[in-house]
This record gives sequence, C-alpha cells and structure tokens, in this order.
Amino acid sequence: MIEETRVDPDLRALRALYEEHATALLRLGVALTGDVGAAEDLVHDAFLRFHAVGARPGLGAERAYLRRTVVNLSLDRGRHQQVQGRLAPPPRPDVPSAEADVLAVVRDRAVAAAVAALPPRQRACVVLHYFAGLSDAEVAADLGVSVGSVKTHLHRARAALARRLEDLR
Amino acid sequence: MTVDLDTVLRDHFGPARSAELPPGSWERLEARLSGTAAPAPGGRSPRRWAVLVAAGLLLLVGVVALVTDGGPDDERLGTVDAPPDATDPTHPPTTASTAPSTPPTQPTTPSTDSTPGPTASSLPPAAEPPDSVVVLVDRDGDGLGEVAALDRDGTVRTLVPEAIDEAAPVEGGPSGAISLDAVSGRIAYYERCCEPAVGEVWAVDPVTGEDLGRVTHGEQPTLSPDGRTLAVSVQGVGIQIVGLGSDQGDVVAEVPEAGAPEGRVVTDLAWSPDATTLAVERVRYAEGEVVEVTVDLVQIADGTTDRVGAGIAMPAFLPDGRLVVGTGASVDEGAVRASGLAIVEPETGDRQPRGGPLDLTGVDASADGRWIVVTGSDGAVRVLDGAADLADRGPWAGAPAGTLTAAW
Repeated sequence: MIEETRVDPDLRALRALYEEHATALLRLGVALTGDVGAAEDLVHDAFLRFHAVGARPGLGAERAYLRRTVVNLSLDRGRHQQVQGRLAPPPRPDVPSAEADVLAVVRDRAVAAAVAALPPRQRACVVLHYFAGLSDAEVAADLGVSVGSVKTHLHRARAALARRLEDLR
Repeated sequence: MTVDLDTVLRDHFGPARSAELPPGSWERLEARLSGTAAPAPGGRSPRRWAVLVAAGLLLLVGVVALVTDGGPDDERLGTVDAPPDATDPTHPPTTASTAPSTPPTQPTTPSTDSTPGPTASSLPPAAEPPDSVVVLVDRDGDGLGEVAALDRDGTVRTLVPEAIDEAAPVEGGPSGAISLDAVSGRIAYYERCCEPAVGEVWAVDPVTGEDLGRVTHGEQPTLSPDGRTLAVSVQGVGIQIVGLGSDQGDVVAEVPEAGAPEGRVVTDLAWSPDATTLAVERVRYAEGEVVEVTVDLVQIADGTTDRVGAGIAMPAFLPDGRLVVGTGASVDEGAVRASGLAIVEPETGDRQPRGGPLDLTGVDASADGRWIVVTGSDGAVRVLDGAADLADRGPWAGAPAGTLTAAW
C-alpha cells in the first residue's frame, strides 16, 4: 500500500492507458512495419511523446491521438529507412506442409513486398483502411488530410498493388 | 484464380491482428520514461522550454525551406514543417491550444522556383454572364477530378485530364479546388493531388489546356480579386497569400493556424471584394466523425477571426461585402453539401434564405462577386446574378454529373 502511494499518479495513469491501448497500437505498428520489434518501438515512442506533452487530448480521445502518433512516426522513419526487407509477414503459427500453405506464404510475401513498395502516404492509408478498418473519413481525420486525399491515395495504392499482384490474383 | 484485391489485403493483414506485446514491454517503456521528466503542473519544465526553442527554430527553418524549395518533401501525412501544436501527436505544443491567431507574418525569402508562371492581366471584369465556366468534376468519386470548361452551348472541354495513369503527362490528378483568373479569364489554378506532395497548386490555360506550371504548395487555391495573389491553405501552417506576378511563389502574407489543427480541415476559401478578408470554411472531425462545418471571416492584415456561423458552408462574397452561403451544411462521403442558400450579413450574422430545399455541391463567385455559380448533385450548373438578389440566370447545359467545384 505504501509502495502504491509512491507511484507517480501521472505514471499510473499512463500505465493504465498503456494496458488499455498498447496491444492494439502494436498490431497497427506490425501492420505498418511488418516487425514486432519495430512496432513496439513505435508504440513506446508514441507513449513517450504523449507523456511529454503538456496539453493532452481529452478523455476518450487518447487512442486516436496515439494512433496518429504511431502512424506519423512510422512515416517519419519510412523516409529514412529502407524497410522493404523488414516487411515480411509475421511467421504463421504452423509450418506449411501442403501446397496451399506454400502458395499462401508466397502470396503473403508478394503482398508484403507490394505494400512495402508503396509510397509511405499510400501505405499508411492502406493500413488504416484495410487493417484498422477505418472509413475514408476516419483515416482523413486521423491523418489531418482531406477525404479526397485519402480516396486518392487509396485509389493509387490499389492500382499499384493490382499491377504488382496481377500474377497472384 | 481471381481473388478480389480487397480480400487479399484484408487477409494479408490478418496475422498482424494477433500480434502480442513482447514480455516486459511496459518495463522497457518505464525504463525509458525514467529519463523523461513529466510536465510540471501549470508550467513547463526546462526540457520543455528547450524543446520549444528547438521547435521554434525548426519552424523558422521549415518556413524558409517551404518558400525556397517550393514545397516540402515531407512524407508525413497532413503536415509540412509545421508549427508544433499541443494536439499534433508528433510535435509538442508551443502555445496554448486556445491561443488566438498571431498576426500575419510577412515572409521575405524569395522563391527559387523557376517554373514559368501565369501573369494576371488587367482586363475589366465581365458585365454579362460568362460564356464558359471552368469546373473541377469528379465523375467516378475516386477523389480525382478533371478540370473542364463548360460552354454555354453545352460543349464540355477537358483541360486537365484525371490523369491517374502514371504514363500520363500530368503526374497528379486535379483535386480539391480550382480558381480561375476572372480578370483575364486565361488562367485556372487548381489543386493537384497527391504526388509528389499533398496539395500542389498548378496553373492551366482554360482555353487551350496548356500547362502553365506549378505555382505553389497548398490546398484550396483561391485567386484574389485583382488576380495578383493566391490564397492557399497549408495544413499545419495556416493560410498563405502567395504572389503571382514578379513575386510568383513568394509568400507575401501568412495567417498562422489558430489553435489546435487536429481533425480540422480547411475546405474552402473565398476572398472579399476589397481583398482584406477571407471567408474560411472548415470541417472539424473528432474520432472520424464530422462535428461541424463552420465559416469564419479572417482579416488578412492581423489574423483576426470572427465566426460567421456553424452549419453553413461554401462562402462566396457579393460585391457589397455580404456573403452567400450554403445552409444546412453536411458532409457526405467527404464532400460538403448544403440544402439551401442564404445571404449573410457579416456584421450581424443575420441570414436571409434564398431558396431551398436544394442539394448543393458547390457555390462560388466571380472575382467581382457579380456572378454566383451554383452546382448541384444532379450535375446542374446554374448562374445567379449577385447584383440582382441572386436572380437565376439559368442552367448551364451539358455539365457532367459528379462532385463539382466551380469558378471562373
């Protein structure tokens, strides 16, 4: 009990927030980077920034704020890193033994490479739309751009992916 | 085997949905946090002040780079080298989120953009309804439009194609806004989306379709009444007034973004006839939902902002300084709609309804405010007389259906 009262209340609140949102943010990070370690770094950086700022989003708006931070941090990093090699899909739980499984792995790798080759903006829109399940308006709100821009990014991304994945479809 | 691309993508991201935090994740974060001072209640820590100073310097460098480079290469969505803000998740704030607008700055750094640019002429404004209107139309709802001229006889001339094919000469498709030099009638400025950056403003000859080159970076390009400057919205920065003459590309005035930009997007700009004021339409989002559509009046000289009202959109000035707005504003699939028209007294906010119910997709005015172009969801383009209490001068034949933003 004594130990409990020594904990910085701000830190305690942050931990509660972490426990509530970190897993979802990690999964978003994995979708963006294809790497659990890199995704965890993104999540940590997002929480560090959240902790550092004085004016925080209102109650209930933290998740959207943190999600935006993770996406923007991934885009910042994307400009400086060649992430293609790190974007292999996470290992599947079972070792493929059947032809269908082998084909699935081949397809996953091709899709991962195609998604990785997208410009960062398009990739972010694809991840937020197809992984996070956000609507165009929600993606636009998260990223601070117009809905038209999101539609354009998604349209271009789909066109590029369709070309790259033509053989697999 | 043919598999739907949407299905492929959703399947692809499936494994990410089961990813779990590695053991000891919180402890690793806590270890990093131990070197991070928590913000002092009601004040700022020394580290925070250092961050603020650094952010200020970055802002200065960013503004200079923006002007000298003709636009940022920043790949981060929705931002440029922007002033840090409390609600920008990647930048701590430098001012309280409720701070009023700071006075406009007068950047003096000349642009090095050597793109040949359009030159405004000094022809008098048209006294009769124009023979042609230039519109941006999105026919298939993909967010990309084509710039087309609609002639009185129903002819539709494509000036800038949608150009989504990478092989097309136009790298990015037009999107968002268009403003035609009503003085000369020979230059249309349009927002091109989205590569190499979100919000590039380009110019085209609306008669010949000749590409007149890149003008500046920004969104919602809106030409001043004298045709000498262009107002643009630069996300994370504010509203910039960009020169078009010998000072083409130079930011001649800037109204910094007031308060928190999170989830707030400038979706339309309109100049007052005396070029002292901009009407600014904004859509504010929260948690992906549209909270409100508003129109503000922003004084360019000092950044003073007055709310005209909420639930209104598509501002356009009349010659006497009153505003024409769409009422009952809403957002449908990202496009602002209005269900009626009204004339607003900026001083009092009084609204005088002028028609409805309608399903308006765009309201725009000629530079002198004499002619108001109204477009509807059915594709109909109508021209109203701004000097005769919005008397309807008739529909424009041949307008293609789609989301329409009009000007001339």
